Amino acid sequence: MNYLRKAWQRLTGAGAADQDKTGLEKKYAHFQKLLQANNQVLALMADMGEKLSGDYLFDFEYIRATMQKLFQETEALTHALIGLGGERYQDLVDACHRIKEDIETVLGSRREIPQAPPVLFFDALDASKVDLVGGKNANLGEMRTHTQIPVPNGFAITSYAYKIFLDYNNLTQQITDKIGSWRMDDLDSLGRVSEELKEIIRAAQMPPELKTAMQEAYDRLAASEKQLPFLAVRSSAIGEDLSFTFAGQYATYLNVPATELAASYKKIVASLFTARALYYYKNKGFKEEEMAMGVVVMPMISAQASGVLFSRHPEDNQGNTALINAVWGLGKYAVAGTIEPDQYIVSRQPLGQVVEQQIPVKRVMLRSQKHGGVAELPVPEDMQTRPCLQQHQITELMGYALRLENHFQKPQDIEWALDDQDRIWILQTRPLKISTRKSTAPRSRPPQGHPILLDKGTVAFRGVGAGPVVLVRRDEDLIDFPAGGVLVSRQPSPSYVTVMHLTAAIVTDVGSITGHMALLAREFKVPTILNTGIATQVLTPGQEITVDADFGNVYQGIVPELLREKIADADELAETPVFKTLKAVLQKITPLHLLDPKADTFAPAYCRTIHDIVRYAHEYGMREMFKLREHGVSGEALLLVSELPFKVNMVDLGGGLHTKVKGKATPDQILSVPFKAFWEGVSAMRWPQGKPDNVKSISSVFVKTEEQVAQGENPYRDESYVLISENYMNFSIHLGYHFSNVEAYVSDQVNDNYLTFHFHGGGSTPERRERRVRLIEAIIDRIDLRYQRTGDVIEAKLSKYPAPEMLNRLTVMGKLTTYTKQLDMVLFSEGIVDWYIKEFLREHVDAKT
Amino acid sequence: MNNQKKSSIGKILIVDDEPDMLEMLDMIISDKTNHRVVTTNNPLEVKDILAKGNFNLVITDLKMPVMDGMDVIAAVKSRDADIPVVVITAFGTIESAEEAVRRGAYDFITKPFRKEQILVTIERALDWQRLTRENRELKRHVKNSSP
Repeated sequence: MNYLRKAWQRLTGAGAADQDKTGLEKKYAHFQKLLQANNQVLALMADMGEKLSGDYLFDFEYIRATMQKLFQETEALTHALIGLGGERYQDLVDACHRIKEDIETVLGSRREIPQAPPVLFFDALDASKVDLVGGKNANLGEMRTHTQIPVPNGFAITSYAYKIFLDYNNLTQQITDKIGSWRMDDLDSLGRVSEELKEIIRAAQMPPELKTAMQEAYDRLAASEKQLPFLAVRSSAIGEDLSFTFAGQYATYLNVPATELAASYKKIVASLFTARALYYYKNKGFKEEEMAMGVVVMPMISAQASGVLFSRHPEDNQGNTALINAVWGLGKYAVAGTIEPDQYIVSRQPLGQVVEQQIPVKRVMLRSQKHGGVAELPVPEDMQTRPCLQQHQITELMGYALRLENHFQKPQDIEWALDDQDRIWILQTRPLKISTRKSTAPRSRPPQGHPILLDKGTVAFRGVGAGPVVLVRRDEDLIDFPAGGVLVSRQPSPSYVTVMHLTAAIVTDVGSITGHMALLAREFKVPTILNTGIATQVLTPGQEITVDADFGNVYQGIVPELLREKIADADELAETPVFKTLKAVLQKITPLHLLDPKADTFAPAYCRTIHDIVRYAHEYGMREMFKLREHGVSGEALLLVSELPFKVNMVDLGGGLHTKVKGKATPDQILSVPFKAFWEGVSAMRWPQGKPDNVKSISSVFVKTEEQVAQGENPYRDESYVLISENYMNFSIHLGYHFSNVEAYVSDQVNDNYLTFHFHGGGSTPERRERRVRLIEAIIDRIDLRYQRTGDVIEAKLSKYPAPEMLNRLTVMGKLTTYTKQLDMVLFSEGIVDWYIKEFLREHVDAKT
Repeated sequence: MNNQKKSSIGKILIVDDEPDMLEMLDMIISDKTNHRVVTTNNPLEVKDILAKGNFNLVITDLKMPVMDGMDVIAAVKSRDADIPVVVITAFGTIESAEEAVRRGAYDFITKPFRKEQILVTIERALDWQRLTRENRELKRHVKNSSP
């Protein structure tokens, strides 16, 4: 209570009036900026979360542009908090920078070239070595070390060899300069830069270290092959995501004599710098120093026939067939589509049974030349119309295909060759890029026998979930939340995150899709419908329901067909690099760790995500605003003149009062949206019916009794004090025994809206204080405030309700303020308290809803 | 071939230098429709690909290296003015999208976009092509039968 008096003393005393007022206004302006930035950040987070739903297509540019905006707004948010509360929030800025760096690391996803020998044999490789040798090498190594499938022996020239090559020729800086000289918006110079880079590589020297390593590897290979093999030298680009991008675009050299290995290596490295590769790198935000090439070196298989096998036929809905293409000679003609290949549609089960085959006339083939290189030769006439593969070879190939599919746990795209000794070799395997076709029939709805319980609301996260209704009114209700329950509540709360891994779906009466909880629902992929208005009235605890957040409906009972659909509709986009990046970035953005504002860990040092930052800034922004009541103001305070014996001093922070007002104001001159509603409640109050006999009139309760004066109350010092603006009120109320504070922000932005209520009792006997608090508790509970009570102190809060609902509640709070004041003298017994609770609710709450 | 109306199946060429985008578009269209999809991340190949197949629709990114979306529109239109071109453009570059429409693009769509959005646009574009062709056919019919 003391600060009020102090404030009032400052208020009435002489002083730097304008300066104080300006200080308050400035703080309020910071608060508004904070709210604005808070909303922007939440909206951006919501937008990014939505993009991960699988309903959207987006690219890296989207991620970059959105992140930039997100950083800007987060910075604005922290600055606003510092403007409001001062340098003590500097820690938050530091936390912000820390998180930003984390995110940039993910975004940059800088691939360091790992240190390694320049050459590694397949037998020393597996799938985990992809950064070292590229996808093609890594898969060959994986097959040789972990399967019994016939893969030629061979070796990889590593990405570290590439680094040795660049370092030896001092190329890194040259490449950086060249690439730096080209900008995204200048596409014309791109081709030129690409040509210059390729020329630089061609002109570069092979480092002796690398030459020696390659020579030694070749000698070892020759020893194991017991001959001096010609080589297949193929690119194996670094970076899983790039292997698809440039499939078939980097250089490949076939039937290369050992003497030309180094030259082929350089040509393959040069092919890294095609115009398109450069553009893609830059567009993706990669650094040029991350570009690296691995190279596959294996003995050339003298193939009589070769081709490609898809372990699942892309056009087959049932998924029981595979597709094999075959040509005579080397496989390049099958891959490049130079000639029409044999095509076999083969069943997976029974293994290798040919379902359908097309054997076109094959007039030419590509064959290795005796002294190196390849040449197109005519196919001997008797072979032209003959199938390249016999049944037993098809069966053998299919066996390998299924084993590979099983080993890699994905349908595979396989290159194979049949050598002159009729042995089959697998030359490459990689995940098959197909999507399984699904029926396009639209969903028939509504499902039969399941009445629609709710058909309105805002979908925060799509999907379908079903289970028994669990009504959550306060945080305690989250304890023992049953797995598979549907969480139903009046308002959303970030504290629900603690049970989100258990919830089948969430349905609320109010809420915004950019709110904290909606973000979390998206993160946890919980189908969520907000803003249904009536969910808590329509749905009953334990009732089984199906929440269809695709169409915004809630059905009675469990609707299996909707749930089945959900399972079938697994997200096929999730595997793409751009999705993975956004997902990784969002991991640093949306998870919320600052859950309990009362915990010690609710502090900048514990902020690990942008969401934590926002949560902290918003909470402390509100606390700083609440503290404004301690701020001394002088001069500009106005007296609210009304018929009530209630002395209220007002300070307008902007837009709270009619502009012409000077010195005194009447209630009809109040423009502040929340205060107007609150005052309406205060002044509309009338004495409850059936008042106890010893209470004579309304005025009697405002007159200080001797008892009160004896307890230290000064009847003439009871002054209340309110800061207002168009959307804000911060009302410190001193009425008799009571001190309470009602603070509220009400605007069209649902996310900004909040109401806090602090009640401190005082005076009177412990029994009466207890009764008073019980009465308040019962009433604010009915109007959905979340509250905490310690002794006879109540702290309560409500947020994110639409403006009309906020204002209704503010009016009720106004009524309650007068009511409790009036009742002080009459709370003789527990029975009377119950009666007054009922009376108030009947007359002022239930009548409205 | 299933029982679907033949006219409802179109052949679509998608051109985008971002392989992710190509892959996702391909996935979605193949997944949700019966249209045939051919993709390339090399706009220089567009002419050759168009020459090989009977395409009903071209979807192209606007900003690409070497040959941009405007060039793709020109290439398509010089081959067959009845092939609609849908341009994909980054948010915030509406002006260039409008320019693309002036140069003959059927419609544009801004990244990021919903799956449904592109599917609806595709159906509309294919309908447009069908109607344009029918219309021309009818006109010729009327012309030939009138004295």
